Amino acid sequence: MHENLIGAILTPYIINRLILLFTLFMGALLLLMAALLIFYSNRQKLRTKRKQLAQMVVQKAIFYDSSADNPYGFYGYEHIRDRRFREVLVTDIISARKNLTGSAFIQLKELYERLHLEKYALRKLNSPRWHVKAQAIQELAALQLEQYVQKLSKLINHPNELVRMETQTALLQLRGFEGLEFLYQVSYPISDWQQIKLLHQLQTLPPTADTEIANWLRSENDTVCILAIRIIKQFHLFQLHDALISCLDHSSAKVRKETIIALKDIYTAETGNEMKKRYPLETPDNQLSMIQALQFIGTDDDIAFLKSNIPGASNELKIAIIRAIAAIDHIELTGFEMYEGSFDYPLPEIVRQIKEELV
Amino acid sequence: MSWIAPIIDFFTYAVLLYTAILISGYIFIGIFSVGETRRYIHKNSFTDYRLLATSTQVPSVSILAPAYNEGATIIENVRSLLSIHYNNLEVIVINDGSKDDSLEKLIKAYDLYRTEYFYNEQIATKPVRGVYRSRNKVFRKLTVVDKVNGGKADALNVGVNIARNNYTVCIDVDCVLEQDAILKLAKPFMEQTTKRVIATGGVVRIANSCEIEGGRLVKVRLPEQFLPRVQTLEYIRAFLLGRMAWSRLNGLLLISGAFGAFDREIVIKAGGYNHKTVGEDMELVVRMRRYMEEHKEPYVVSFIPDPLCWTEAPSTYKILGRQRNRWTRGTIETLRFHSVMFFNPKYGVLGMLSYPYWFFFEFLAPIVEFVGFIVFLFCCAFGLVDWTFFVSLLGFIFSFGFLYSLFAIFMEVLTYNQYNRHRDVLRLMLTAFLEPFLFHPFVVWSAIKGNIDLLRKKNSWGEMTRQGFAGAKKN
Repeated sequence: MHENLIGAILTPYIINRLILLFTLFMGALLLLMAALLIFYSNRQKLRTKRKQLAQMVVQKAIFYDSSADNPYGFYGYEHIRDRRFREVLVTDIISARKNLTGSAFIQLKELYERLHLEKYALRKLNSPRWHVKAQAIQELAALQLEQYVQKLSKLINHPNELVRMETQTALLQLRGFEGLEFLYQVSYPISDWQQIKLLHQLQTLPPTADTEIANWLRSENDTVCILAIRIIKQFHLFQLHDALISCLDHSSAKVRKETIIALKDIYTAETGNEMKKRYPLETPDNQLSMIQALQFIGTDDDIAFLKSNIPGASNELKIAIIRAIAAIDHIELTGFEMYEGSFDYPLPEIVRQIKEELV
Repeated sequence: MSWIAPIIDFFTYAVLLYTAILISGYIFIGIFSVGETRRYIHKNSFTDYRLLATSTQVPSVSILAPAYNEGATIIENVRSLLSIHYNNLEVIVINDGSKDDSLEKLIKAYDLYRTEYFYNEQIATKPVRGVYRSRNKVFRKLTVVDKVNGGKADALNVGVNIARNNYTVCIDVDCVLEQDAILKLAKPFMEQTTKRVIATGGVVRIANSCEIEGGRLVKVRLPEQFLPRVQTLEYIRAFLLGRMAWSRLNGLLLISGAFGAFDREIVIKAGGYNHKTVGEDMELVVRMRRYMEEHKEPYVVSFIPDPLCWTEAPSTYKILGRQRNRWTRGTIETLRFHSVMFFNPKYGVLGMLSYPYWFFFEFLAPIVEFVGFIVFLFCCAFGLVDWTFFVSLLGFIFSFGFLYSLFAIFMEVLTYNQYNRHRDVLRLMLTAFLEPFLFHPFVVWSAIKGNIDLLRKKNSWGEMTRQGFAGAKKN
């Protein structure tokens, strides 16, 4: 081969040796992987056995006298030092816990305590691995170990999102509505997904004092404010209507949109007027939400306002406006042709569509 | 012939350098994807999807299913879509001017009537002939749109215009979705707090030989035929390694046209699907990303590794060739439309990493391979081949390719383990061994043909004849 600068350094001899070395290295890796696949497959079999054993332990704890035939009171005690068995067992306990209350839950909790699983949970809580930490939080909350509320509260602003989420969920599980006090401390945003989880947990609980919720509406964290609005909506807290109205002037368009959506359920005779006052200042998306809200809460007095906003509106907004008018007074729609400019495209088509929707 | 030696030398070292970078890229992708997959699986173990299925707070989703001459299977396929678990859902089937009796069958099966409907054309499309809804309340989620034929992109744009919900999920009507597919696909849209999620992709898997009943996947099986099986391996590699790594970098350029969710507002703002390319799925993602970059809005294109969508893969070389030819043309067209982003720091990861990667290693790779083969033949003819060097290099490339496939199989077994019989894993390994001889050269040749067809301005979609799931193996 021709001698040049690269060729002088990287001679075919060196390349060949490098390539051979890599090929051997890859062959070794290949064997290692095959061995790992076999190992993994065997581990799966062991896992199945552990799972069967764990299910038996949980069933015995729930359905049988726990202290009758075992000095430790529980079948499966001798396996508890096996970390993998503990993992499977705790998963089973948590999953059983979701469907159990009353004495069956007490039995389950007793099983958990007498197998000293709490000790392992606390060890996991100090783990640097976020998913292990989150598992421990979930475990402590599922078993209603209220003595750890203080410890868990310290994790409310943990850098890992999942740890934060599980902490918030745990606090609600342990303290009910009072657990929401974390909203005063939380500095990270609360995602929509987490809000769905929290609202789901709250739905069976009696709501907290209005003053607390009103305070959260003023939070600097926009997502806290949104959560508070959703709580008002979920629990139909009409007494907080005025506080909700003040959120129509919030600096965040997302908060304002959430307020408009909530006001569709929490409204008074004045709500429509409050919205109409702010309509010209709103973003197109929020204007659409306001019109959609007026479809449900509007009165005859709002029809003139709705009609006046048709010229210049986007087609999407026009559809919403005509739909709102039809919802308030469908007779108005029948005489809609009288409205000046109604024959301009696309209003006749929209009116025909909405008329058919009414049938 | 002294002038030949320096040229051959230059060529040899250029190819060597290219290969070294490509292999480094693959190693990086392989390693980088592991963390993302692990993170997702750990995180997912804390998710209770039942909560999402019952919540009214979930984002509203419109499924868009374009159909062209799908009369043979359309009733079953639509039934499958209507059975998906999700609260805020509408299903829009777009009959793209089918020449068969698809529309008549739908009208009859779902008791449809033509509605008065104002078609709000936010993206320009071919004319809509009619919008149909069902008289039966059971099918209230269903809307069928009949339109003049304009191709898949045009049909999807009609769907985007008609959709009433915030997110659109675009699927091929003949795909089979997992029952919880939309729940899983919708979740990333709810998780981000600081950036806007503009699109989410899910893993597409090969359904050949799987058991499918009533439009639902009943049993997963590894394809019996070689071609679908090698594509199974290819999809595992692409989705479980490639897309996960790019997702971690927030550099994904492609969400499969067979199954992906998009923020409808951004789709409309970006101009919808481009009907001037046969790679409309990739082009849309690139354009949406470009739109976000140019408007300086923080965004994410997300990807989840769960197998959510099952599709029939080509089982003959003829159909496979057409598919790969089209994919090549789609890639080149997309890269050409957005060439302004090439190494343009204004576009961040998109301009500096994703685009160049696709240019050098997706578009150029088959060309480099093909030219390399021609040069090799030339060298053989002139006795210029250093056979020791050649054999070692070939061994190296082969073993690396095999190792990479093996790593993908390993990840599959460790994570979703869809093909859980030892025999299936071994068959996948054997397939990985045979792939460089029986599959890869054909794919390279199809890509070269795609390049030639594009130069000859041939822009046909290429008919995709499918056997249908009725032919899938049943016990």
